[in-house]
Amino acid sequence: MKTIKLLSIILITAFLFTSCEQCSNKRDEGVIKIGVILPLTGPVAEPGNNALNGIKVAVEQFNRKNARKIVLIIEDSKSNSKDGVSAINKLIEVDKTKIIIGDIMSSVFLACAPIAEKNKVVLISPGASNPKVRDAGDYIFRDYLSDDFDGQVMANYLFKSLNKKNVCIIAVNNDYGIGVENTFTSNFVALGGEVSLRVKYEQGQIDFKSILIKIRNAKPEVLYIVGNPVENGNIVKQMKEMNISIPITGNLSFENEEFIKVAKGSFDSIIFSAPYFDLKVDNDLVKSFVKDYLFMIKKEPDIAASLGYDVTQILIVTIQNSKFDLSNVKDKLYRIKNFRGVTGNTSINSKGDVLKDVYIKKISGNGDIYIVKLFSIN
Amino acid sequence: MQILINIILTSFLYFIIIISFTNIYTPSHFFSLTHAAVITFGAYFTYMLTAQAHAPLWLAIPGAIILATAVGVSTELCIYKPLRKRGATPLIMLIASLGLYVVLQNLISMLWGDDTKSIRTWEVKVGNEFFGAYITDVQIIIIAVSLTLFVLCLLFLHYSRLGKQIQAVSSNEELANIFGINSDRVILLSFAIGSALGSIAGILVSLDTDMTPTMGFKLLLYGIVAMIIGGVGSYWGLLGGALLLATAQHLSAYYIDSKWMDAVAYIILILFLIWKPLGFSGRRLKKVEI
Repeated sequence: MKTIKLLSIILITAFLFTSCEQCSNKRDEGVIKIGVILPLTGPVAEPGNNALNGIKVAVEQFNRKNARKIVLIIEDSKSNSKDGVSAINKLIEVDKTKIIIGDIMSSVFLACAPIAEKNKVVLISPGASNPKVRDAGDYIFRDYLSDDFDGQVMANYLFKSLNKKNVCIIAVNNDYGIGVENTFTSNFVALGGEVSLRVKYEQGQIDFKSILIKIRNAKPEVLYIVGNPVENGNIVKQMKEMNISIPITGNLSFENEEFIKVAKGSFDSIIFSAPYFDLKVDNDLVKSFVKDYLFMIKKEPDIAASLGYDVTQILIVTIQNSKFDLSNVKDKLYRIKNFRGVTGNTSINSKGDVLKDVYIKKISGNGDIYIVKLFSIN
Repeated sequence: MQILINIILTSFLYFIIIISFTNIYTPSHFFSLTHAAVITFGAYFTYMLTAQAHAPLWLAIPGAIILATAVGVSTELCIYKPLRKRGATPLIMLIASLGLYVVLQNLISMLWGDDTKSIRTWEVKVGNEFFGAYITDVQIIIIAVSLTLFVLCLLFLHYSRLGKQIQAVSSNEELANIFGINSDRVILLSFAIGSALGSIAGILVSLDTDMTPTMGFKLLLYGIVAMIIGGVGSYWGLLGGALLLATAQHLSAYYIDSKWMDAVAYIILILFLIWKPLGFSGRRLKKVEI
């Protein structure tokens, strides 16, 4: 008796589930499903959630104006590759999504890329910066500049605009640091400059005094630091404590609260390269984004949110260009040229990599940031 | 000259950590890795009392030492003592302490977040010049405090009754019990002293270079390496171990690359384990387990 009862319960539940799936399938017709994999928890949760907010704003703006609706299916990669891979498998196998906005972490994104490529699913990242993304596959795109581009921009700026000929580099000992360091060095040397010393440090290192003695003895005109915000902060602070006054340059990691928290007041100014991002610009697109974002999310958008917004806008334009035929989206993405977004002009090249505007910025000792120069992709 | 100052500073920092750790290790005979969490707690309690409760620094530091000591003592009371009563081997105790460390470190992350916290309110300024090298006020304090603690510990261990009891329990717990020494009480007290010293180390480090939830573990690992190099049993040997480790690390960072600092530390450790397993001082302990 008991077995029959149990069996019938199982059968009924199974029936309910299958019938539910059928009815939901029916309801989904005409709806465009976009999968989202972002780190919503874990160490990278903050930019992950902000990017998601940007995506939501773009979708809301689209749904308000159009009869066909976009539905987001959101998965949490928990800031690690293992959960990212489970998420993309679920989105492809269970939800049957053809377009996925992929992780902002390069490691997670690169782990997901082969799965998307195999299943012919478009995967586009609002933040993966690793140079390897360029060769990750036909269906793999991003709306964020490759790391090595930073090194190239700064080498040109230092040599041509500031007329510096002798540089020392401090880089963090990981893929990212070594990648930027190598691009910077090859570009700077090709221009005719000299890189007199290249030192590396381990992630999480706190004591940089030995490195700094070496830098002081090398007497460079300028120092180029490629690292993480906290380590950068400690380097700059210890330079002040050791009375080393070599001008400092670097990249995006200087535009960061963590860096300021550690190094506040220990430097005059630092020049660094950063992606184009300016919410104060007089531009209808930016204004409508900021207005809707403030209304929906109740806080100011940051760069992660703006990139999430831009990626979704690029997808929406492509979906409209391909007349809502999702199998066409990949080919149309390659034709995106001079797309005007919140994060500047954007073009996608034949590798699925992106070309965007870059700023040279300056941060002063109290944390104020100024724009020095715009490097346009044109 | 600057290298010399850096070496001295680092070795004194290691040295406080070693003496705090040996204080626990010698009577209890196991590597209590929770000590790393106690070091970190020292820093975070100071942060809690100054930045969050707005207490002045002179009040916050003793408060933080007391709180962190309470954490250390309660690990002994709640975990290690019951384990010891059930006859746990040092290996089991080590694994228990590792588990407990992970729990405590995650607790710190949960309470205060993973980002860097700072108790520094003063402005970063150029250090004091000293024969062409620069040393900041905080760094001078670190050296002064460690020297004071070193002298106090030497005096305490050799001249006080409790110090002698600790030595007795270290060399043979059962025999000490027969002579009427309550070994549980001695171990508890050594946990208290060790934790207090450890939290002082944590606070000093955080004054110099801020804090993260994992700061304690790295410091403790270096401390343990220096302790093995120096050899348990003599404070002078331990001082030598700290100096050797700091010298090797700074010179390798200067002459090779700073990414080799850790590798050099562990190469020295392995060399010592092979050729001089009892460390610098070479004193044989009654029990050397793990």
